Amino acid sequence: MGEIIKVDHVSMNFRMNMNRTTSMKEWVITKLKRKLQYQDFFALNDVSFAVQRGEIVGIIGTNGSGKSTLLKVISGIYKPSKGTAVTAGRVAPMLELGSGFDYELSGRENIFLNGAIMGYSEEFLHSKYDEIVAFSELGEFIEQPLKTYSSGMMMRLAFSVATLVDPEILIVDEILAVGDERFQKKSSERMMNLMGGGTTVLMVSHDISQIREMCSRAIWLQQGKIRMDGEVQQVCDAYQQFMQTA
Amino acid sequence: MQEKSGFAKGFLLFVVIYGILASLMYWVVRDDWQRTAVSTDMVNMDALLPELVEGKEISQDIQIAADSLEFLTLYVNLHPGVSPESQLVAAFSAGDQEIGEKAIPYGAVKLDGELTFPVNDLSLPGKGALVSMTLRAEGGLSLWYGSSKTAGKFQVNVETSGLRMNGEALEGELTLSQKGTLFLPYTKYFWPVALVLFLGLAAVILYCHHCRQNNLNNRINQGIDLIKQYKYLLKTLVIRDFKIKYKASMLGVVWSFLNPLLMTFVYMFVFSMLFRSSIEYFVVYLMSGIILFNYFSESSNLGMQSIVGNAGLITKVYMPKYILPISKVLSSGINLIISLIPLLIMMAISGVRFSKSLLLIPVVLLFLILFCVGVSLILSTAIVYFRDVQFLWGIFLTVLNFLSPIFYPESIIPARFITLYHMNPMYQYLFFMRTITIGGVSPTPITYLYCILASLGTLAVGLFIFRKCQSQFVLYL
Repeated sequence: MGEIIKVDHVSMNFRMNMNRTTSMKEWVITKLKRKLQYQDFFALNDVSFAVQRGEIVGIIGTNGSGKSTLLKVISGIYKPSKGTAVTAGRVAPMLELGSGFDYELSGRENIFLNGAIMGYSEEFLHSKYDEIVAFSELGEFIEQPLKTYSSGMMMRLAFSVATLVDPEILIVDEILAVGDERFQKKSSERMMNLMGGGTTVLMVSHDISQIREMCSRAIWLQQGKIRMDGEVQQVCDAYQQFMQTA
Repeated sequence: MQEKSGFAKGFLLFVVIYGILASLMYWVVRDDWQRTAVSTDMVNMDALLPELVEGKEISQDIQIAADSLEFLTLYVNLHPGVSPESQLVAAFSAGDQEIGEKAIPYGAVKLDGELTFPVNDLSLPGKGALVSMTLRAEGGLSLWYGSSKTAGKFQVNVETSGLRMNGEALEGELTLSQKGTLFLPYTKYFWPVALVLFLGLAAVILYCHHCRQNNLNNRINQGIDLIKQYKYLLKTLVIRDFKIKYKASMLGVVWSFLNPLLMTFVYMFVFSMLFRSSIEYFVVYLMSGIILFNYFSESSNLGMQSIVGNAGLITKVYMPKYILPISKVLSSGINLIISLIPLLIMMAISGVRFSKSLLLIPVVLLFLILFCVGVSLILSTAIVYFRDVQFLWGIFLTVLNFLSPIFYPESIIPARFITLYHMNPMYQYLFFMRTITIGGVSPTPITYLYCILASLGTLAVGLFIFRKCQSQFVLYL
């Protein structure tokens, strides 16, 4: 047991697109004119919390409240401008499924490529390979290049790779169900199993009933700050009340 | 306990492999670091001296260019009908001291007038000494002389001549070349340097082991963890890039060796039209240049695009970003290694002697690959901030292509620019490659040092810049 995620006074500061220069000429000119001005935008502003091993935490908030940024900071994609975010286990970010896919390669090769991107070893992926293929229900299509797949097939493969490896921390951004109705059912069952199996989960969803159902704790973000952090029903009640009055 | 013995085994393996590699290296470079052949340039054959009849003598002062002078070559003109038994006598003296004489029959003169005779049995002084050579003959023979040395089209005038006829000074210098051996002092440093390097590496390994044993939470330990975790990703990416490169082409991987061959033929064709190359084994010279430079340009271009091109990945998944440019450089490296096959075939066809120095090919390739990794790290960082870099780099590569001796001999570079010219790291790698293939010997440690500095220096700068900036990449993609 113990803390598996520790977010300590994290601020994430984006320089807004006042004149972000991507050509050398522009850069030199603006630099010479001393016009290089930035407007700082704090997507996260001094956020601190800790998650215990096995906890399932829902993150709620309006659009632009910093939910996705927070997930990216915890996944290690963003380095916080201030503060630290430490994770003590293998993180599987399911932010956008299949972002590591290569459309020229076959499904089989993509399983290994995607697994490798997530930092798994060759032996581990070999041991899980059959299970992944079976779950994705792709059958012999697995040897075909990905560019021949339908988008549903692609999502099924991506979901299978992302969840059949066993992460210690699962980070989910609004993707609980993919594919047709049957596969949707299967995939949400899979998610439930993962969550029941001691995996620590951080999930973002606009579906408050889903959060109430799955999570034990909720964090309410508003304008980059934690507005409320606590027992899931209380936080969700407060959030829904706020949404109605606003 | 288990882990301890595992480490001991691994360390022993390292010691054994290091020992074998060092011994192999010693075997390859031992002779080449001890002595090297020198052969001096000769002045142009501008004019003939008057016939060397009895009672006439021609003297030439020679500055000895080798520690052990073995041959002298003169150019002579034999009159028709002279007896091949007639003799040219070359007497050598230093100051007032007589050194010895050498009698050469006219029959030794080759058809083109070249006369090479051994002088190693005379006890000539060593490098730098001034020796006077006096030639006498029995008539029917004239010697060529000239007043300028060629270095391509740039002529270097001969300053001191030291040519005399019957004691009377003449303008110019005999057309003459010295061949001999220069002794080098490097071999005796081989083992001490190898030992120091061994101790250094062993210290690093032991320190890393110490960090792991005690589970220290420091950078080294984290680095090793990352390498362990992501080495499979690196392998997968390298294989993927290589597979995809030829995926849609009919000939597939055959292109890896067809490409350098065809390019060499194109260059050969063009240059045989423009000028007759004086370079020995021009095909091999050209091909080695093309292969190495192509690798540099391909890997630096791919490496440069690796971060920007994988924006979709970097903004969605965490991974050590170093892996992207490194994997591009390595997957081009597979290409480079495959293209060595046509090079070796071309060497065999054009009759280059295969010598043990070819074992040094991995060394020069390693230097080049590390250099390319460094360059790619710098470029892939720069392009994130300024997309203009890709266009600038294209121009720069063209400039560098002309500034490196790929299809022309180094000798066309004016002498006053030569030091600057040699600073180009590509020059050093090309020189290294050609010395071990065409020359059949190892270059001197000076070249190694140059290459190591260029490679590790660029790599260090690349790693530093990349490390500084990598956390910002995601904000600019």
